[in-house]
Amino acid sequence: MKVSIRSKLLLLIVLLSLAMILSSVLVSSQLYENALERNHEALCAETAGTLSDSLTGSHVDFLQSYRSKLGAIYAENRALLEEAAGMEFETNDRRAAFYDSLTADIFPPKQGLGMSYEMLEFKLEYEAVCSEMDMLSLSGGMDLASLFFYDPERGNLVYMVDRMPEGSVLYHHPVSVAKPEDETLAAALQSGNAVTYVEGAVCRALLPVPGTERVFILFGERNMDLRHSVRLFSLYVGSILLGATLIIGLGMLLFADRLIVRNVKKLSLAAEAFTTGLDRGDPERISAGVKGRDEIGLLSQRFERMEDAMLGYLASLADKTAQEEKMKAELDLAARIQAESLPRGGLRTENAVLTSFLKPAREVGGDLYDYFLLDENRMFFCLADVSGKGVPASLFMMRAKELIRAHVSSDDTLPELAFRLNNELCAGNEESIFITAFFGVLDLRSGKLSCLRAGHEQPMLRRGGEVVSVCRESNSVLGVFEDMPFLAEELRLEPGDLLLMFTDGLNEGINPAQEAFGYERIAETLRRCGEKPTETLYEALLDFCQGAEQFDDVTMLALSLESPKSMELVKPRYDDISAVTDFVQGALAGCDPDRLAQVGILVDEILNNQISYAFEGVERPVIRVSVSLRAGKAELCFADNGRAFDPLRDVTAEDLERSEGGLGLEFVKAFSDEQRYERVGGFNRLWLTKRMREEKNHEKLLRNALLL
Amino acid sequence: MSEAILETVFTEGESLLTVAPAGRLDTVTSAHLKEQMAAHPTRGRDLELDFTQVEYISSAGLRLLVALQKQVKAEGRSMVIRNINAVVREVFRVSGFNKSFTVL
Repeated sequence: MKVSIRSKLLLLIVLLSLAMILSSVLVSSQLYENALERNHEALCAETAGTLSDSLTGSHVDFLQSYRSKLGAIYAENRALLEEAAGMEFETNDRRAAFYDSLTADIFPPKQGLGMSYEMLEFKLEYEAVCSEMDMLSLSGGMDLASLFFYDPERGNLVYMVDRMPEGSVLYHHPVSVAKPEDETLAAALQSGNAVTYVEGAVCRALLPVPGTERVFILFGERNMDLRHSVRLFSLYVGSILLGATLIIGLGMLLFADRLIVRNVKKLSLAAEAFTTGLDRGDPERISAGVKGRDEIGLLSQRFERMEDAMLGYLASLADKTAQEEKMKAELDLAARIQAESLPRGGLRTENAVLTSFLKPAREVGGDLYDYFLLDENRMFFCLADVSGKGVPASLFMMRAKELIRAHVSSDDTLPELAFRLNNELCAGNEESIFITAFFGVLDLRSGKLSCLRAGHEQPMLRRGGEVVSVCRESNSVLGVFEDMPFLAEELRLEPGDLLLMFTDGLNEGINPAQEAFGYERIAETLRRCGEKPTETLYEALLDFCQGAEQFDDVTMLALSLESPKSMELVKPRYDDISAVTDFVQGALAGCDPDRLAQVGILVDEILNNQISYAFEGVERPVIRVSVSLRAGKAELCFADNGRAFDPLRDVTAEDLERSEGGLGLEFVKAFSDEQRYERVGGFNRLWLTKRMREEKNHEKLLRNALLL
Repeated sequence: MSEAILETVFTEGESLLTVAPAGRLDTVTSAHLKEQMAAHPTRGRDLELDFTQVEYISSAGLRLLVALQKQVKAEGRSMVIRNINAVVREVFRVSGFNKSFTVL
């Protein structure tokens, strides 16, 4: 939730005001209450004093007379009065009648005269005391004024006068008794001392009347219910405080607003404008425009400094990015040039297939390989790894590759090649970059493999179901020690063998747990892999690495030896031609498509001819087709056990008349380079040779020269 | 890889039958095409052979083309061969049929 500073401040002020109001109202009402109480006590005491004074002096005599009459009534009826104090009367009149009867008993009426003199005197004295007390209590604003005497023996208060100001209503009847309810009152009565006290909402003053015997004025009972006035007072104080705190609070708010909120808003807007510019890709310096030397002013300055720094950083970042992109484009181009410098597509002869695989870890790499035919019967191949990575390694790699091409000749042995190559690489190699390499020359006729290992990974040989590392002896790496002697080893490869050469990018490929792919996994994969060993190995490596970044190029050469491919048809039919065409074209897969199509024409013409004409009277017709590829030339052999027939010579005029027969032979001659017929062991054999790739210019020139 | 059965697309127009075989036109497939053509007679329409999908043609295929040419000519219509590749062109050249066929 977004809460602005302004509303937070406002809330704070309101809470603060409420707390202030509450506490001040509590304190002030307490003070006010205390003051009122003291005021009441003083008023009570003063009024009681005045009354006490006024009852003394000239009045004491009739007060004494009144008291002695009352005393007499009390003494006579003490037990009855005490009992009556606890009694409930149905009406005030009944009560008055009861007490009046007691009085009448003491002062019986005179015969014939009615009221006795004593009775009259008693009534007059009572009235006189009453009027005295009423006057003073009225002027003192008292609610109640009582006069009584105390009987310490029985602890009884005997009421002489008990008046309420609004019209002389009898409260306690003269002579009625009561027990003091309050301990303070009891103690004061016992000692005869004046006392003022507050009990609940009532303030009382007790005063002995001097010159009388234990006569007291209980003055007061002034109802001082303060709650109303205190409430009013609190409201008054509260509203003043509320107003004051609101004014102060609003002032503070305005001040804070001007000082903080506005400036923070400005900063926030400036920051937003700046980031919008950043997002748009067109950032510019935004000034918040906050002046002042306080923290916010400082913040604004630093914000501007930060903007400047960021703009500078962005500018340099853009420069760097442009440079990096240029560099990357150049590296990509370099990688293409590098990749194009390495042969692709593999090498296929009648009985050997060499395939290559390269996956650079970076744009340019330090792995290299090469392969070509030294002559009709010998295949050269090499695989090498330049120490180090990136551009330096790749430059060295290109140099090494060109040196290898330049130094390989069909006359030299591998040790001679390595010796010369090593010395060339040593020359001017200040950086001591070295190369590990494996060289091989395979004699395609005998399967003899001459190999030389210079610090490189040992190749693995799969024969049958077994995989072993071969070429155990290693020579020194190339490019470091001049004039080193090199030694080669010899192996004999057999049909069905698979020789895998690889760089350490394969066996040292790591997974996220930092485990290496390792030789054992290579051997295991090699055991089970089928037609495409290098692809299968790379997939196994990828599975193993689980996406962990690879730091080295992965390069492989796989050499497999095959026997020439052949196919036999017993009792051939025309429909078999499709299968033979598929077989022959499959054996030559990868060659020029147009030439493959022409091979299809050759197969069709010859098989059509054989099936149509060769097998008259032959019990078990057989056709054998074999195909091999050697130095870019396809060699096809079509054999049948039909009647002896040389299509190159024995074509009769009759044959030529059949349009397709003569035409078919024309096509055979037109689409193959060489044709040879032989009859061996009851079989006609037609050999056809066809070049399966474009002739290179010098080859064409040479051929033309020979033809001339 | 070829199919043993030739896949041919026939487009029947009012005055033109377009035939587009796919794959090799050799001994086996020419026989198929011959059967397929029998099921789609030209009936006095021009014949257009679209060779876009033809990999190569052997003498057996050529023989079928000659027969088709004769048949169409007999109906007073024409036969054209379109979109031949380099291999077929070479076959036509070697056989001399580039002169007798209308190759577009």
